[in-house]
Amino acid sequence: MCRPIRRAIEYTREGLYTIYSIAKGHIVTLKNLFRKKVTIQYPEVRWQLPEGYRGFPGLPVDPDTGADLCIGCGACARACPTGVITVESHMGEDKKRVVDSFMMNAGRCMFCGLCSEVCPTGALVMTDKYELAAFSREDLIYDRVKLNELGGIRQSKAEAKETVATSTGREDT
Amino acid sequence: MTLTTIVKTVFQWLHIPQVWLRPAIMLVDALIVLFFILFVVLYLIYGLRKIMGWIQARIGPNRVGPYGLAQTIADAIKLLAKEDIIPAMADKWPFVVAPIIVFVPAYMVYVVIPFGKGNGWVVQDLNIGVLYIAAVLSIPIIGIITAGWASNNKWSLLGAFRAAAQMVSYEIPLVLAMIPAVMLAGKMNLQGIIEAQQGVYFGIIPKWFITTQIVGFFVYMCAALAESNLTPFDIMEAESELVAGYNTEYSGMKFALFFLAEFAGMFTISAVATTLFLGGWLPLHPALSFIPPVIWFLGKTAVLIFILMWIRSTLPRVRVDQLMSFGWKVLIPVALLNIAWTGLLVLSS
Repeated sequence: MCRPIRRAIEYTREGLYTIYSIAKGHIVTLKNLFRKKVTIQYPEVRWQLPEGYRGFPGLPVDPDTGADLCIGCGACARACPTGVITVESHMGEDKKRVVDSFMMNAGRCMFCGLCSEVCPTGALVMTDKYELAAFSREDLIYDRVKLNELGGIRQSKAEAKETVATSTGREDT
Repeated sequence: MTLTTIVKTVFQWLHIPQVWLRPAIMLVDALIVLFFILFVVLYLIYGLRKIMGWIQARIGPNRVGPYGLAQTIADAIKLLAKEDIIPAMADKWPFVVAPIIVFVPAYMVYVVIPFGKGNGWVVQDLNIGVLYIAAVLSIPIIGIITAGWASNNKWSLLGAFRAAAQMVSYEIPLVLAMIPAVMLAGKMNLQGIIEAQQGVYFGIIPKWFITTQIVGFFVYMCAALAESNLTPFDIMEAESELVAGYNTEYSGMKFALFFLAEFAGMFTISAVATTLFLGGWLPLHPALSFIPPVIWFLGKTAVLIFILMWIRSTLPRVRVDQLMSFGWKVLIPVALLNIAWTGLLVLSS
């Protein structure tokens, strides 16, 4: 008997709820209209990089010796999942490895950071460089000189070892 | 009036026979309206992109010219420079004509829109203004179906079919929502409808038709959104389902015409809503009549356009079945009830 009335009430309530929810949505978008914009005007304004940002790996140069700390062990090349790194080295006269070539192919790198994690001397570190565009594939292959340039200058040997220990969680010094 | 005298003096100066006077005035009128539309559309597109950007916490166009103001001009030049492709399997003649059929009515509506007080601010104040608007607004659908059919593309055809269903069902509530304004004013002439909204209740509230026609206003806005295929009723071009609907195969200038018609339509529906419900060029209160009527008209229209853009960037697209049931089961009955209520109002006064 009162079913049509109940139906009518339900119908009206649903209609009112629809209007309410649409109005609510519009208030949300109106609030966003006056919000601070998140866009960064890229070439002019640059992003503040967070700590521990992983850019392309580089070999920073020691200010004292003018060379990086790579000992040619090849641990990074073995750790790399995509085969970015090729290290060629031979045994020197003083039973120390001499690095012949150290190449990284930026076209393959996925910025996972495993190479810098396994590096026993902390020679290979993740830099904050992310603008790596090039005109040819050959330009994407970085040799040791370019990697030194990319890495910049490190503070000192002792400090580097400390950072390796803290970043990997190993107490191996 | 001043336009006529200007043209007359130019004619006397150049010794052109007076026979050409009337066609020349019509041509000048048409060009003024055309340039007005082009200007309005340029900055409507810019405004839409800016407002949608702000709502999405972006900046919007800001590279071309100061504050990106020349962005749409650059886009228009790009569209003009593009290759004008006609697909090999398309039906060429209708394919070329369709964008024109869509654009011309959108342009024709501007003939009756009263931008300000008196005859100087309207191209031709027809005594059947409301009927003319309703008639002209129903023409673009023919162009859309032609475009969908002539493209010989399944997305285009689906879009055209959806457009046909949508336009046919939303024209009815649109016209039904316009009727109360005509009933209250007692005439179809747009300047007459605006003049009928003069005066204030209790010395504060303006006697615009929206005061008694709030329901009619909402029905009109819903139907007008659907009629000019704006989100949330843009199922006929639904990018995520139909690529671009009826204009999938169009490029270059033909695409620009569709685009122009869409944004010209956005201005039209806001201008008509201003005229019928918000008192056109009448000031909010007689005390504010020192502000020129044109500013009042364009200001009210701008507010409505902002609301349309706001809706566009808030609501998701409705489903096809929701669209149809909303049109037939909600808007039309509500519009009819509104007409009955207006009838009571007219009888009681």
